[in-house]
Amino acid sequence: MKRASATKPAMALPALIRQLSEAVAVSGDEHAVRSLVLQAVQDSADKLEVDALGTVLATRTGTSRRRERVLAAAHMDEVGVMIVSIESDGLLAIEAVGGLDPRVLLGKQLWVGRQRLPGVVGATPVHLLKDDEEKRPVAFDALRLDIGAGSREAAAKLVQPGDRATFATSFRNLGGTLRGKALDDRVGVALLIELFRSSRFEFDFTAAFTVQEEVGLRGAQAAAFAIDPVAALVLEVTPANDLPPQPGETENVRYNTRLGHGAALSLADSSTLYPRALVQHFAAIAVRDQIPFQYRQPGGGGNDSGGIQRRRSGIPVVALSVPGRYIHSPAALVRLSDVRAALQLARAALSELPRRPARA
Amino acid sequence: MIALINRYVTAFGPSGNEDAVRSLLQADLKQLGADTQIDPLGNLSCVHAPGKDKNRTRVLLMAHMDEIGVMVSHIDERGFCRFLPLGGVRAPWCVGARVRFGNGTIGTIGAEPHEASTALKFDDLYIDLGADDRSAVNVAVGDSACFDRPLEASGQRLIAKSLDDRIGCVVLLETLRRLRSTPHAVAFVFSVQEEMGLRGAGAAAFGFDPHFGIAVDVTRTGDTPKARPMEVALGKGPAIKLRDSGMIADPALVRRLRAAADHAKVAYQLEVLEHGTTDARAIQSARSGVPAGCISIPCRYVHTPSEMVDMRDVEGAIRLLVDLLGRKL
Amino acid sequence: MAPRTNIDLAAHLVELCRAAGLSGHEAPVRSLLRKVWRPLVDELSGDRIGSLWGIRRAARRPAGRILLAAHMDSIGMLVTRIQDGFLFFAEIGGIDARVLPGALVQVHATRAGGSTPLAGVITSRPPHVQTADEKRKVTPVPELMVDLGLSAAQTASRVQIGDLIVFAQPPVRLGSDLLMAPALDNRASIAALTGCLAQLRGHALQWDVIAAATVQEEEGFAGAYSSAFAAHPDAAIAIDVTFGRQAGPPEWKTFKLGEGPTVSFGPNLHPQMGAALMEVAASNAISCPRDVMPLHSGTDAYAMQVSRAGIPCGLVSIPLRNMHTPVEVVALADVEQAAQLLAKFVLALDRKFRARLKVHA
Repeated sequence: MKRASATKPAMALPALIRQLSEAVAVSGDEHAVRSLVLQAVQDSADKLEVDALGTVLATRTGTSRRRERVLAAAHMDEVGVMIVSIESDGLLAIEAVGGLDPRVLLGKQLWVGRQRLPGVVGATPVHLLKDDEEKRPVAFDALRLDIGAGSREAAAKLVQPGDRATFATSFRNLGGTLRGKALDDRVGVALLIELFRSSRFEFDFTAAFTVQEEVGLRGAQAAAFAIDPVAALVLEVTPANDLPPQPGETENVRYNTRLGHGAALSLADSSTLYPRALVQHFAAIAVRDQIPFQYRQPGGGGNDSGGIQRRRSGIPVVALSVPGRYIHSPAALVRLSDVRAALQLARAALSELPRRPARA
Repeated sequence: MIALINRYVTAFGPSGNEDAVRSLLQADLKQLGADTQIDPLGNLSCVHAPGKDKNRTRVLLMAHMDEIGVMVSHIDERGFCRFLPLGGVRAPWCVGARVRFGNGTIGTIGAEPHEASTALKFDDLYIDLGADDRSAVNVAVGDSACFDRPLEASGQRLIAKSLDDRIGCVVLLETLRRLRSTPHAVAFVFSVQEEMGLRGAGAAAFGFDPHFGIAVDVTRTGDTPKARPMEVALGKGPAIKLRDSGMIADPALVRRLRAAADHAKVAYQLEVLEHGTTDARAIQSARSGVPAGCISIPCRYVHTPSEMVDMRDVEGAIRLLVDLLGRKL
Repeated sequence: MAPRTNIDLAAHLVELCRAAGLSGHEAPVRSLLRKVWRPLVDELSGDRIGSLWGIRRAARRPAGRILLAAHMDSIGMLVTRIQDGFLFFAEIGGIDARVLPGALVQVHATRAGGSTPLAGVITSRPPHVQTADEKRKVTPVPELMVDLGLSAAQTASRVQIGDLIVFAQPPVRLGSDLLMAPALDNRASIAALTGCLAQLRGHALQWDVIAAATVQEEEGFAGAYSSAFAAHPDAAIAIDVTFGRQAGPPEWKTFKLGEGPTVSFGPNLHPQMGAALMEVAASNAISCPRDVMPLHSGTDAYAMQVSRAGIPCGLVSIPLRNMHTPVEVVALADVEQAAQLLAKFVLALDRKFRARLKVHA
């Protein structure tokens, strides 16, 4: 059995998140993040493969003779746009890849294609808007991406339809709070890398760095089938909508999660009702070990759990998330203390995972 | 059988909280001598008659244990609970409804003032538990409640909550009770989370790998004033589904079901449901595909706390299934 | 026996379009295909819900396995209610209600046993009797009926709920190059599969090939899920139709008829499958426009990609105008070229191709 290499010291968590956040991996083209992940886990994995969809499956053999398998998943992909057409004036028509609100694209810089060309999504000058256009959200098909090419021919030398683009946001550590693009779910990827490198469990532990979560939980479905685990953990970044009440409201009843209140355990979202016994196991460990945690408000949204739970004969799954403000925008914020709490809770709860997780 | 149905429809079982229904079923199945299993998602199943003969045709019968309900998403300072629908609950139908939590706590649903011209949304609704403030509330965020109504019988008609799909559970139980022998391996599966989007059925079908799958569930009817037209009515027999918005029933299986109904002299109806689907959809796509169909119990006011079925249709469904399973397919 | 490599694809396609085969009720088109495919393959088989497989075995083992999937089901309608001799109906597969009034249909009536085709027409209100309100809206399906021209009693004795309704528009050649027919979505691709099998006759293959005519694509990809699971291939290609250039939709979503089948790129497709298809096209002088799909491909590839532990998928599409209407139009040359592309692709598959699928770029 291999030992973690001593020659390559593990990167500090914020530095790892920085590296992952600044990589570009719009759903379906996760290459850049996959390279970082493979590099990060290769020395600690007893088995390492990339599956047919591009998901990285890294396994550490368990210490027990029971050959049970547990899966933990974090998705490598991020939301972004795809170039669908080059127009005669060299501007690029784009479509969303994943749940992206066109309103946050207006007036933003993007990194375009693998070569990360600078581009910008323009907006009609406010002076020229007609009637109530200023008040109406812009539609995707009205957006154009400008890479400074003056003609179709000039643009076609730089990009082609099918190329992807995402927000050009450099990562910043604001002192305990991290700001960056794609923190959903690069923070989860960083957590899973750390968890994988630092833990050996009784069971065989497979870390699945999945593809295409943002376009329908695609990679997780295939990975869960392949691994056929007794239980699964999804590491995510979930919206924190913990803003002050709006005028006319006395209380924000739709906060979802709150920054700085610890790791968030999911109870129900639009794709999964989480098995109560397994959620309670995580909560009990958090209380015992005094790890800050909160429940994510039951509500909309979903994550790889939805893709995992129904595979084969059914797989009990828990989602543990780091709250993140403004996800699916150019810059999300997460609190480092929540990231550390999630790592600590994941490790502790998995170490003491009940023998039959579904019936715990 | 009314007493049996009463036990099942009054049980607490919103999606994801099927434990009470599962316990009732386990006890009843045990009395019938069945050996039950629970899969990782919580689906309960037993196989009749168990045996090693691999050449037998495997038939899957499925009814879902869960019912629609609500889940608490926030409790405010004064103790009012905001909630989410579990399954196809309609906001305007909630006002004044009573809900019951797993620990027995009862609440009523109130609505904020809103323009009469706009439809009520869940954001306008809250559960009032009669608590003075948050500290007096004995339920938590994430707890679920079912609608609370007793069963009433009116002639052949039953009115109750959660006939969708406890009546299917009872049909399966009775079918098993009356089925003396079968040349097949028949799995009776009681699924979870159908109302959330058929989340239990596929996993259960994957495990059993059936040659045929039949869901037993309720369907709506066209026999009420100004109903959206539909050729299914209460009291005219169980409905053999041809199509719903999620599935086209296997034509050969439909022929077998019709032949069984004719053979058992059971009056039946043919069903085309334009909005809605059942576990049969998920069964159909399991593994290498499963020819699937559905026996429906006609039901008025589906997804309200006062669903209505006719006992003659229930009885017909049981006789049809007993006939079908008793002979070679 | 001399290998029969030439099939009149145009005639075959017309025959396919004449065969009924609504989603979930594919038996007529399946029997036709059995007959046509039997001499072209080593074995006929299928999944459990009616998809038909034509299997060609590789010359040597071990060999890779590729699944070529085209759905054989088509859209249509079925009877939901009979009133005063008129038939109310529901759609199967997603029909544009705007094209229904005045459409010629055939009802497969089964009440008297067997299946009797009855001619009918879908009701429409003449402008003279429309209210101002009716003039402004599209008549929704629940307000339309099929009129068989029979008395209420005659209708009731022949038709029952669930009877299938198909468009009665016969296939017509438009000019010398185009074919118009209902159900070209996706019989055009089935014809391409047949053409591919015909071209593979007499060639030794390095990979097993399963040509699958799948069921129920229009109703949620049921046949693709089941065929992909049962076949467990190393790679799969879906063959379907895409939007032909016509007035209305944005230009980037449409492709000119006669300029070749498209090859798709996007998260639903494996980049190496797309690249390899384009290479084969280039080396065989087949014109293949790129089709980019930011999300869901809306084809059998969507189901196949996540079957089991994941299957690398490609997508070849034939441009088609007026999709989901009784007057779908394709260029016969695109069908021929799609058949050619698939056959050349299969012949180019070698032992190294599996390794290539491990490259995700």
